[in-house]
Amino acid sequence: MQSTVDRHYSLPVWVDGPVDVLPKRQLRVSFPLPSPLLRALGPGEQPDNNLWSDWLAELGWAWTVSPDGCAPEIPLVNLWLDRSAWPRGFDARVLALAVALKLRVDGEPLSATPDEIAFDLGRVWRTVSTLSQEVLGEVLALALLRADSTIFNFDSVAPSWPADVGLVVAERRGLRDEREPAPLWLKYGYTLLGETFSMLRSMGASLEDCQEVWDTFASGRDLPLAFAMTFWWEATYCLTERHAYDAAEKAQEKVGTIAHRLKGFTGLVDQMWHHQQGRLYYYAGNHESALAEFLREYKTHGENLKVAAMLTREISNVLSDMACLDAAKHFAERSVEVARSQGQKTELYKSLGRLAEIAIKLGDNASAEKLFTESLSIQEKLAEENRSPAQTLTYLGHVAVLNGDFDKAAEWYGRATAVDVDKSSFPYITMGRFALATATGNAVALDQLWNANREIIKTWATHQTHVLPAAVCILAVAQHITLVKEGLPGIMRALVEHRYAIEAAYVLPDLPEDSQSRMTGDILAMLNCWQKTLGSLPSDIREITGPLTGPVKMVDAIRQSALRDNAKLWVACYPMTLTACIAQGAST
Amino acid sequence: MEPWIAVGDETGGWDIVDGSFGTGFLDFTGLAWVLGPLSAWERAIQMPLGSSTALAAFSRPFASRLPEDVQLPNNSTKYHVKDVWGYCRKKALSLEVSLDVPQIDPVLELLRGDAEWLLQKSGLGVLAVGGNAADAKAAGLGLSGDGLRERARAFAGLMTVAMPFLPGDASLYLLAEGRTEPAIADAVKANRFADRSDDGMRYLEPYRDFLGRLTEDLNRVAEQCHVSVSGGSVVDKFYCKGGNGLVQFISSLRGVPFLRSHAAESVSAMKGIADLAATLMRQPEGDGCRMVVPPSFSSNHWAGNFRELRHAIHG
Repeated sequence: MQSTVDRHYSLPVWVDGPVDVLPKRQLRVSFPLPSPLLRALGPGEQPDNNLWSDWLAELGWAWTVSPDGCAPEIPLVNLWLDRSAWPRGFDARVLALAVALKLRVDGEPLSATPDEIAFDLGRVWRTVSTLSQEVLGEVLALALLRADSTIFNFDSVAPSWPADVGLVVAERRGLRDEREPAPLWLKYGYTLLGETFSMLRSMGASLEDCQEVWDTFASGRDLPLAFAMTFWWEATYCLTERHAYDAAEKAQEKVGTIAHRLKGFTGLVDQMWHHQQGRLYYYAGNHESALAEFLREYKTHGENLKVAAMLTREISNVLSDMACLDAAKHFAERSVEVARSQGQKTELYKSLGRLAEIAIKLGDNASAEKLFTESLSIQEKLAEENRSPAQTLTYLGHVAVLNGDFDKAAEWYGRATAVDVDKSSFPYITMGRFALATATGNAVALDQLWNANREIIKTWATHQTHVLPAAVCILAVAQHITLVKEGLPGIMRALVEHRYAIEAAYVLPDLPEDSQSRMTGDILAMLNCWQKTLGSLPSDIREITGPLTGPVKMVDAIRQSALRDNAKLWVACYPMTLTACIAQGAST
Repeated sequence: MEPWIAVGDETGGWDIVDGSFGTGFLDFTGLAWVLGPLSAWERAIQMPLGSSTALAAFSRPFASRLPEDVQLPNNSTKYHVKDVWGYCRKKALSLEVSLDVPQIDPVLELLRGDAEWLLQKSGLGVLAVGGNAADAKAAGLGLSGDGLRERARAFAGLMTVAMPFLPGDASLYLLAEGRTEPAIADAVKANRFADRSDDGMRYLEPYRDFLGRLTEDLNRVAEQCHVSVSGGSVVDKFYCKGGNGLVQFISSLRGVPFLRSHAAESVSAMKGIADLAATLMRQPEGDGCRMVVPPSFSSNHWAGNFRELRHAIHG
């Protein structure tokens, strides 16, 4: 792979006139930005005596271009520039690297826009030339772990590295072929993505587990911060998947701290590192902040096909929970489309699942079943990655309940239980079984379920996500057990505290009058807050999402006590609607 | 914004005869601009120079300031360094006149003093460029087959050196006059007198066409400059004039009382200064004398080879 020049950056350069009578002037000079700038140092190859070349050689890299390859190309500019007056030791390659890495000068990243830099050559060079090797290493490692092919020629040493990073980090799949390339950090990178991530994904159930995996990897290695940031980013993801949100928050704090430090060096530390923070906000029920994080990332990475499917699915999740179902559907469809076109199977089954759930909330159970079925089929093919399809089997059970196909529902829940090895789907299977028992009018089964699970259900009520199945279970039982009905305000409060406004609104009519008005006020306040957030989204985002009026429609319906009479809004309250099947088919 | 004035002159062989360019005297071709804002010219022209003033020295024949017992073989009617080179040839002098070394010969010392004044005291800037036939060809000179056309292109190319540094909102007034050419110059034969034979005489070039070409070429290089130097303004108002035109312009000015009251004489002096400037560049060693500007002698002097300006000249 040859270095090519597709990009330029322009930099103000102070130049003396050729004669004194002509005043000194700042010329805006266009410099080429060759890509890639670095290649792996060849076997036995010695760097030249240039300080920067020696530094790079220590890291296993060499320049792809000579200094002339980074010098201004326009002949007339060369005529005006007095190179003898340029800063001592000036090397245009170093300048190009600084721009490519978006190093900071006076706190501002170089190349804020593609072809314009606000600082003059003198100021830029003063910063760049005093850069420590440690800082250079940090920013290079960051670019390396981003697989930045504009900086590194990976063809010269590990051609599949960019694809491997996409596969493991963005798609979160396993590394297929672990290499041991000569540049040290690239070798460590393969260990991180291969052995270490594999261990993390199978073992990382708590912060201590993750720390142990990190210690195993980091032991005896002098690693730049970017490695730790990448590791803890993934650890956060793993922990949220296991619903260990407190631990995930601590892991994300590590990411945030490292990202903050690296941001001091470079403007390259982008929104992607805040992605998990968005997920944590989401699981904490802070939809406004979650949406803000994801949309910030969407602005920079929305067109990046490696991460677009994951990102649009996350946005879809938030919008769905805020009752903006048309917009949520749009993003989920985009997620499915990208995942399908890119062959991202893991992402595809997740986005199909998300789209299916939105279909349920839109009242289209037939589409939901079809989408869940496709999702399940993909997961079964990916079984070698130990992905349990229990969640999707459970959701198929829910669809069957909603369709009144109770035998089929029981079968789905049975299959789900059989494969739910880590019990992560247990609350949702239990929720389904409560709904099924209610729908079939099986009071005995309902009693048995309640007696068997009442204690654990109480613990779910304090959990960020399990509170929802807890609410469904309690609502189902409350229909015929008075004592449980008395507990409705409590679970209702838990739903509100965990910011399940739409779901809580569904329960309002079942509450005793004395707590109804206070809860109504809390729910309306939350919905109004969401609507305000949605109303303040940037216009470019609103152009993509279309109208976002879900919360305000809910507000109107609640005020008119008409939520359960409005079929469109009613279905949007899923999974609470699972409990409504009793009214249609059975008597307890 | 104060106008700027640039006065140009050329040296060497600019004729194109039988397709041959730049092969005249000493196989050397060159040209120069002397430039400055109007106020710099106003100051410079009044400055003392030896026992005279710059105005007097440069508006009159070089020989007018020589001791009575020193004669030049050729005595032009204006300041003309060529008269000094004729003197050197007659005396069989072959030496380099380094501007930082006082000369024993009174003629050369007078010339050296004039050059020293121009480069160190006048406050005016001197841009010069030249080269041999190969240099000229490498820069793309001679392609049109018309010496006038090539000279306009080279003058504009040389102004490129200064272009980004001239105040963008200034007007640039340029004095660059036509010259003579042989009866058998290629352009003459091609356009008018195909059957002409060499009569040993020189005739004036088509004068207005030269100024038109120069203006056009200046605008071309200004546009190149504008494209190359993104951001900031680049001068784009060029007024190319002959001697009489510049006299008229100066006569109409306010704020430069001395120039205004001595307009004609001042323009003559400007031409003399430009004639001197055209000799202040690296020239080939030959049988006669030549001036040498030592490194760091002046911060108001830029001299280069045609090859350095090939992108400006050829573009």
